[in-house]
Amino acid sequence: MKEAFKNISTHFSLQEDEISRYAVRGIRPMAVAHVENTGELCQWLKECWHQRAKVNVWGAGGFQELGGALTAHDITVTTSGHHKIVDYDHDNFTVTVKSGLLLGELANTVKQHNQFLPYNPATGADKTIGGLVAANEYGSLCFFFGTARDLVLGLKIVLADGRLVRFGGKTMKNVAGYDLCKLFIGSMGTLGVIDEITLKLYPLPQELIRFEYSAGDSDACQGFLKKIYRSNLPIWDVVADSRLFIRFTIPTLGIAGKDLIDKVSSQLGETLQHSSFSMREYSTGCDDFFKSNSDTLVKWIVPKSRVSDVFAYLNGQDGGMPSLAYPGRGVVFTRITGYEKTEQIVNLCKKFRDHARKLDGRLNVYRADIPVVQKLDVWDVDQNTLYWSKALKKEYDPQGVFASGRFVGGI
Amino acid sequence: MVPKNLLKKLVKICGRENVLYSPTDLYLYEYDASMERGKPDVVVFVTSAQDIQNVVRLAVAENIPYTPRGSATNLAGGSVTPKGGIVIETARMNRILEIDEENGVAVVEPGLYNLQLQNELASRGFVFAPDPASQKVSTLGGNVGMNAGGPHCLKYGVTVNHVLGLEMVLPDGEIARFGGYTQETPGYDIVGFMNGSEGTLGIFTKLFLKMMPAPGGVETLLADFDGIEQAAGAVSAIIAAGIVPATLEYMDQTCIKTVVASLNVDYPTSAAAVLIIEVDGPQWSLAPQVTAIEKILKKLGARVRSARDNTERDALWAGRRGALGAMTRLKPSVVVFDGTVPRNKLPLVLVQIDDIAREYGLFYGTLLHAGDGNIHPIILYDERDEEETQRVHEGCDRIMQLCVNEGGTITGEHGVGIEKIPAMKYLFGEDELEVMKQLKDVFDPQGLCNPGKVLPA
Amino acid sequence: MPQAGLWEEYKVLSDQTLEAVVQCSKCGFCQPTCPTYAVSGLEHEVARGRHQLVRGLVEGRLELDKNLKTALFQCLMCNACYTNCFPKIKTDEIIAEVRNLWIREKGQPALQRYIFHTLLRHPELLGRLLKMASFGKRSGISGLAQVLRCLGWYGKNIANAEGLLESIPKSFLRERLAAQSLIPEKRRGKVAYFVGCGINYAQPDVGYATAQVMNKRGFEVEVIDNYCCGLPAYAYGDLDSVRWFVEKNIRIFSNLQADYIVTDCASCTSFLKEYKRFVPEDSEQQKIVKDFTGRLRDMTTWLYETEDLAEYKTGGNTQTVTLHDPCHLSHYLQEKVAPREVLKNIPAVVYKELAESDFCCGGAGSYNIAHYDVSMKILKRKMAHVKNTGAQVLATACPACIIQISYGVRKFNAPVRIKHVSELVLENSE
Repeated sequence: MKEAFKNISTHFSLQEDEISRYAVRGIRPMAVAHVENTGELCQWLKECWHQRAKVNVWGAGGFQELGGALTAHDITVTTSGHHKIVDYDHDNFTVTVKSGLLLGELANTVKQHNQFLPYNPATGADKTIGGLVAANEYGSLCFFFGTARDLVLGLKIVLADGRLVRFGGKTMKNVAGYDLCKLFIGSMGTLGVIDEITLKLYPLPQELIRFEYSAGDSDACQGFLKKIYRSNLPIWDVVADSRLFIRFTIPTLGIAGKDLIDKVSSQLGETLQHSSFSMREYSTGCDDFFKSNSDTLVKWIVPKSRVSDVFAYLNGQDGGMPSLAYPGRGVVFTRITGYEKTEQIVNLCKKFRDHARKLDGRLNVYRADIPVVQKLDVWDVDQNTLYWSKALKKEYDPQGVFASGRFVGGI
Repeated sequence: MVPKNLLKKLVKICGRENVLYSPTDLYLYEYDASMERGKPDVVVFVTSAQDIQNVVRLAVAENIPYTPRGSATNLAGGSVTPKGGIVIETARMNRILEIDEENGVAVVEPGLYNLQLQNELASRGFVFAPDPASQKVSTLGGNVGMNAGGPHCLKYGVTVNHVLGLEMVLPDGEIARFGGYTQETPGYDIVGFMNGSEGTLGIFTKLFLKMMPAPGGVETLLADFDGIEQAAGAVSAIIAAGIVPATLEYMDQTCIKTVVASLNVDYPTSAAAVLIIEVDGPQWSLAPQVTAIEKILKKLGARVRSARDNTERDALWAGRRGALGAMTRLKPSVVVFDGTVPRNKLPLVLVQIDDIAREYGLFYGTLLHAGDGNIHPIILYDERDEEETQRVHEGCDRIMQLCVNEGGTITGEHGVGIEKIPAMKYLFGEDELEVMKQLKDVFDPQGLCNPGKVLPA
Repeated sequence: MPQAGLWEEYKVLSDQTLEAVVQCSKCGFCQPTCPTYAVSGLEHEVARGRHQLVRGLVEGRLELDKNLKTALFQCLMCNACYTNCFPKIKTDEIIAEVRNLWIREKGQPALQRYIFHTLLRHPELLGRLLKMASFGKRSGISGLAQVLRCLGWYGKNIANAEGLLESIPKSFLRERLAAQSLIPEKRRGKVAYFVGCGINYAQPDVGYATAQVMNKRGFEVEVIDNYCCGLPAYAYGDLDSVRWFVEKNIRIFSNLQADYIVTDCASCTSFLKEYKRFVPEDSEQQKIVKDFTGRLRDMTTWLYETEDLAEYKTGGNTQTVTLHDPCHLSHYLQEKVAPREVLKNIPAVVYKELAESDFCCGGAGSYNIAHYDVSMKILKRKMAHVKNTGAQVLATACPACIIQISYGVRKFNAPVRIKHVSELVLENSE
C-alpha cells in the first residue's frame, strides 16, 4: 500500500510525529498525504478506493471534532496546500477557488476589489473554504444572504473512487440536471471531497450601522425580533444572546447615516444604540463565544418565533447558560458550563433535546468531548432524513472510503 | 392501453369521475407548453397525499410509469409522458393549509397557483419571492419541481432559496416529510436537491415556503440605448456599483418594435434595446439607488425615464409583460430559449446569437432577465414547415453550445425536461451524468417516476 | 409533429379558424380565468384543450364524435381566455365554427331549429307562446314546461328552465314603450334603442328604465323594430340563422337617423359589433355596418359618455353596490371602466369591488338550461364572492346575467338585490 501511495506524491508521510498531529480524538491515521492540486487529490482517492483504505479529509483541522466520533481510518488527506484562486471574475461577481483556501485569505483578496463574500462563520477566517462548506458552517450574515447552499454556485467534487465531477457553474441561475451541489454542501465529507468551489460575491458596502437593543424580558425580546422580521429594512445580520441583547447591522445604501438611524428607529419604534463602521472593520463579535474548546456546545434548531423561548428556558437553568443565537435562522448555540461529569452533561443534553422538541425544534450536540459523544447521538435527525441519508451514503460511497462516525446515523 | 383491472383499481382509489381514459381525453394530456408530445395511458385526478400514495403504490406494483402534472405550463416537456403510463394530476390539491406569520412559513398544497399564494400573502404584507412569468397559472408544486426563477430572483434568489420543507410521496410508496418550520434540518440537504428534480424523484404533497415581508416601495426606470452592447454593459455596471436592483429586464429592438406595433406602449422604436430596472425596499432607500442608477445609465449614453406613480409604472412594464404575447402573434410556433451566461458575457453572447440566427435564418427577438444573465431569445416559426423547424432546432442547439462555451448553462429556469436532454452532454461528462443517475436510482430504482426526463437514457 | 399536408388539405373549417388553432402555443394561460376549467380542472374544458381538439380533428387523430361534441359544446363562450391569451386567439370564433360543423355533419336538434328558424324569426309567434307560458306559470300550471314539452324538449332541463325564470312579465317592453311618449321636454339629441330579446320578453323593467334615463338626459328614444341580434344562434353554431338576422337587422339599420344606437344588453352590443364578419367585404352592407357600429354604444358606455348630463339625488340613504362584469362587456368589448365609473358617480352608491368580477356567472344565454350542473357550479363560486362583498345591490348590464344571478340569490340565499345599471341610475336620478 505504502509503495503505491509514494508514487502519487512526495508529500506523503508515515512519520510518527506527523501522523500524531492528524489524530482525531486519539485516533491516528497510518499516513498523511498533503495534497497540492486536483490531480493529486484524485489519485489519492483512486488509490484508496483500490486499496480499500479509509480516508479522512483535513482542511485546517478546525472541524475534526465536530459531530460524532470519527472511526478508525488509514489515510488523512490534507487540503490546506490546495488553495489556488482559480478564477476571480470581478465583473461577474464570482470567484472560483480550490477548497484548501482559507476563508480569511479569500475575504482579503476580494476586499481589494471592493467586493465581499457575505459568509462569516464564527472563527471561520482561519478555516478552509472546503471545510466550512462541507460542515455547512455559517455566521450572522445568513439573515440576509443565506448559507452555503445559497452562496455556492458550483462545485467540483472528487468522488469516492477518485473521479472528478463538476456541478453547477458560475451563473446565478442554473437548472440543468439535478442540483447535486446541494447534496455535497453540508455532507461533512462523507460523500466526496470538495475540490473546487465557485461562490457568489457582492459589492462591498461603504458604510454599515450597527444597532443594539436590550430587552427587559423574553417577551420583549421576541416582540422586538418580530418587528425585525416583519420590517422591510435591509438588515444584513442579527445576533442575539441569552442576556436578551440583540444587535443587527444595516448598510447605509447611499443615504446619510443619521437619516438611516432616524428611519430605523421610527420604523421599529425604539430608540436604539448605534455605531457606524466601514465594511473593512466589520466583525460580528461572535468569535469569542465559539473559541473556547473546553465546554460542550449544543445547537438548538427551532422555528424562529421560539428563539426567545429557548432563552427563557436557559435563563431558568442553574447558573444560566451562555447562549448566542442567529435568531432569524431559529438557531441558538448554548455553552454548557459548570458541569464536569459526563453523566451530567449527557443528561442535560437529553433534557434540552426534550425541550427543543416541545418547541417544535431539534437539538444537535455541536461539539463535545468524546465520552459525551459516545453516550449520545449528537445529531437530532428525523427518521425520514436519516433513512434517505443512509441510502445516499451507500450509493455514493459503497465501499466506505470516507471515514465515518461524524455525521447523522454514524455516516 | 391500460388493463381493465388496473382501471378498476384506479377508479376505486380516485373515484370514477376522476379517472380519464377515453382516446379524446388521453389525446389532451399528451402535451404541455413545449413542443414535446407523448400520450399517457390513463389520467387520474388526486385530492390528497393518500390518493397519490395509493396510485404510486399501484403503479409500482404493476410496473407502470407515472408522471405528476400541475398546470402543464412546462416549457421543456416536463409534464409530457414519453413512456406513457399514469398522469397524476394535482391541480385540485390547491389549498393554502397554513400561513404562519410568526415563523414566516406558508404551508400549501402543490396545485396552488403561485399568484394565488402571492395574493393571499400580499393581504398580510408578505411576499413569496419566486415570481416566474407564468405565476398566474403555474403551480407551486411545479415551481419547486423546476426550481423556477422569475424577474425578482436577481435580488432574492431562485425557488430553492425559499423552500423550507417538503412532504412528498416517494417512489417507494411512502409519504415522507423533509424539513418544515425550521430553517435547517440535520442530515443531507434533501429539500435542496428535490428542488429542480423535475418530478422525477417523487411527487410533492405539501410545500413549506418561506415568506418575506413585502418591500415598502418600488421605483421603476426605463432606459433606452442606441447599441445592444451599451445596454448589456449597463447591466454589469449597475451591479458593480453596489446596487442590486429587484429586477433588471432587457428587450431588444425586434421585441420593442413588435410591442409598439401591437400594444399601446410608448417605447422608442429607434432604440437598439431597452432596460427596465426596478429597485425596491423601504421608501427612503429608493431615491439614492435611483439617482445612482440614473447616473450610470446616462454615462453610458442611455435616455432614462422613471415612473412617477403606479399608472406610469404599469405603462413602463406593459411592453415587457406583453412582449412574449405580441411576439407569438407573428408566427404560429414559438421556442423560448433559456440559456444563461455569466452576466459580463452578455454583450458578446448577444452579438454571437445574432450571428447564429442569421446563419440559420431564424426570426427572433430577445428578452433577458439581464441581471442574472438569463437569455430568452424568442424564436418564431411555423412547425408545419419541416425545413424551418429543423433549422430552429439546429440554431437552438448552437446557441446552447455557445452559452456553455462562455461559461454558462443550457437552461436557467425552464428545466431540461425532454427537450434539452440531448444538450446535457455539452455541460456534463459521462461521470457527472452517472452521478445524477445514481441520485435517481437511490429514490426510484425501478425508474417509474416521470421517466424519460432530465437524463439521457 | 403536425403534418403540413393535412393542414393544407383540410377544407372543412375555414383557413382563419385553422390559423387560429395553430397559433395556440399551449402556454396554458387560459386556465386560471376559464370558468369551466375552474370548476372541473379538465383539459377539454379550457381553451388550450379545445384548440387541441380541433387540431386533432384536422390532423385526423380525432373523430367528430360524442366526446368531441361534449367538449366543444360545454364552452360558455365567455371569452375570458382571450383576455389572457398571448397570441389573442378568438376561441369563441373557433367554437362557433366547430359547432356549425357539427350541425352540418350531424344535423341540428329540432328544438334549436324551431327556435332559430321559426320563433326568433317571427317575434309575434314567440310573444304569443311566452304569454301562454306566463299564464300557466302564474296560475300554478306549469305553463312553460308545457310549452317546452310541446316543442319536444324533455328531461330535467324543463324544471331547471322553469326555476330560472322567476316570472314572465304580463306585458313586454315593446308594448309598454309603444304606449307612451319617448320625447323629452328639453331635447338634446336622439337615441335609437336596440331592444334585445332578453330585455323585451324577460326584463321589460330594465328596458323601461333605460328609456327613462335616456329621456332624462335629454334624448328622444326611437325603439328600433329589430330582430334578435343573432348571438343565440351563433352560440349554437347556426351560422345560417346568424346571417339571416344580420341581413334583416342591417336593412333596418340602414334607415336609422339617430346620434347613438344603444342597447342595454351587453351581449347584443358585443355581437352587433361582430356584424362585419358576416357580410362581404367592400359591400354596401359593410358600409352600413361601419356606420352603425360607429354610433353603437353599450348602455353603460353611453351612460359614462353622457355623465355630465346626469342629475342625481343627493342626501338620503346610501347603499352598498357591487358590480358583476358581463362577459360580453368585459371580455369581448374590453369595457370595464364605464360601468364602474357610472356607479361610483352616483352619490348614494357606496361602491364595493367584487372578487373575480369578470368571471362568468354561468348564465351565458341558455347555457344554464343546457348545462345546468356545470352552470350551477360556476354560479356557486360567483355567489360566494357576492356574499363576501356584503353589498345590498349587485349591478350588472346583461339580462342573461340578471336571470342567472337572481336565480343564484334564491338558490344560495344571498341577501342582495340584482339590478341593471340603468335601473340604479334611474332610481337615483332627480
